[in-house]
Amino acid sequence: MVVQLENVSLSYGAGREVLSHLNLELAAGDMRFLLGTSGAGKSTLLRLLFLKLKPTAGEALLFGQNIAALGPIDVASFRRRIGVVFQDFRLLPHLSVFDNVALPLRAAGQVRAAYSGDVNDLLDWVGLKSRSGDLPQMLSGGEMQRVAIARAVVAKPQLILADEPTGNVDAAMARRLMHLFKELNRLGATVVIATHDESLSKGERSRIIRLENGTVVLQS
Amino acid sequence: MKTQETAIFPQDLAPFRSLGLIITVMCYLACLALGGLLLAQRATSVWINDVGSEATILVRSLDGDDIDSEVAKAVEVAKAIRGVKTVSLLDKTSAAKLLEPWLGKDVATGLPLPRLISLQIDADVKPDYAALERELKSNVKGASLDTHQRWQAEFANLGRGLILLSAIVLALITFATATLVAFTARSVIQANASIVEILQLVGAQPAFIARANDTQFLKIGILSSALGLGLGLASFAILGFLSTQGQTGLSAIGNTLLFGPSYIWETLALMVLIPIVATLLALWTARFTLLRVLANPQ
Repeated sequence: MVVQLENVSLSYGAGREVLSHLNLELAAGDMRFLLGTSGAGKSTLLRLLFLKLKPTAGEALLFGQNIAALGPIDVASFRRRIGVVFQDFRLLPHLSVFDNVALPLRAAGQVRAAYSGDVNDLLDWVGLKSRSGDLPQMLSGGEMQRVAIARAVVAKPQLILADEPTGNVDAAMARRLMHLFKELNRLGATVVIATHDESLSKGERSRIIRLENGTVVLQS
Repeated sequence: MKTQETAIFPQDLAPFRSLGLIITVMCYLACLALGGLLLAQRATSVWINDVGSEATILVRSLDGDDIDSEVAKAVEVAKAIRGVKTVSLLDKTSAAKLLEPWLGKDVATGLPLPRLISLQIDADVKPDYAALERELKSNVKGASLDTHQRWQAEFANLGRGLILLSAIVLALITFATATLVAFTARSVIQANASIVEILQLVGAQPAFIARANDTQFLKIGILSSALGLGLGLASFAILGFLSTQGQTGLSAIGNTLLFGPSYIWETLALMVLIPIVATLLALWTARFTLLRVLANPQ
């Protein structure tokens, strides 16, 4: 199992539980749409899965390891197996498209000569090879999101988490991005897409996880 | 094709500019403090050697005694002691001249002054002062020996005090610099919190993030500390020049003790250590601080 959550609860400080007795399993190669209204706990669940948060109760296993027991060094190592895409892209504004995409490989200790080919291939795949020297502010929202996706997958992660990835792009670009995610899933990655846009999961009934008040109310 | 890695953190940050200025000032002060320390240590050593290379026999005129014959006996006794290189008698006129500044010419020449015999001591063979004193006591009336040991002890104390003071100043400068570098490193992390967050999300280890700032701290450390050293050396040069013009400055002996032929290479070698130590201090303190800050990723 890539993800195994058993009776997981999470609350911020002494406040109400944002995740409550949540159970979830994701196998390698799964693709899931995490649906729910704003405040349902989608982003919190993703933050838990990319090790930004730890559960306050229950057991959360990622790649078979209990995430509550991971130290700072382990967290960094585990994150190399996870690619994350955000609604607001989170690109480094002073780095070129190429350098933004290459960031996970640099963090893993690779040198430019070693990763240059992979990064260029990936930029070609997302249709941005000609923009590799541009800074993020020179790109459209859709282009920035494709850069963010390229950065998320460049290190060939086993798990890809996307938090409202189509929130800042038009409908045509949203369809194109969804196609990219499906392609990544076809290549073997487990993909979780959190969105409040139900239209994205149209025709994907078997892949929906619905959250309400921090717990799973529907899992296909 | 581009082969160099682009810096992950922006290079032109306000905290870095402030740090550059601070390191320059600290290295300048360190240069002055080290100059002071070397001057104190070398001057003390020279003074102690000078004072220790001489001893004085004082022959007082006692009632009814022929002082000249007592002085002659004292000279003979001194010459017989091993380790006494030369014995020279200070004549009456020269002795009176020593007192002239305080007593005036007429009074000084009219007084029954004690006679002074200066002994030059062999640097390699220390004389048996106790034996000399015994011989003088039994053979020469009104004679006493001054080995200058009290002055040597005073100079040694003074020198040790000045060296300690300079060392404390250097230690305080080092501590203040390290504290400011740590503060800057924290400021850099705070100013780049979003970059750090992204780096952590892509799996960067704390050591990688800390290292990503190395180049900047290294560059600032080298440039700023070299500038501080340059300003420090320029200050010594100006002080040396002023002293040659009769103005308040380093004085000729100060110049010689720092930049004279026997001392210049040692002085410069020690001064060059300042930018090296400052740069390493900046680099290590920054990395240590960043690792501590990044030890608990959110």
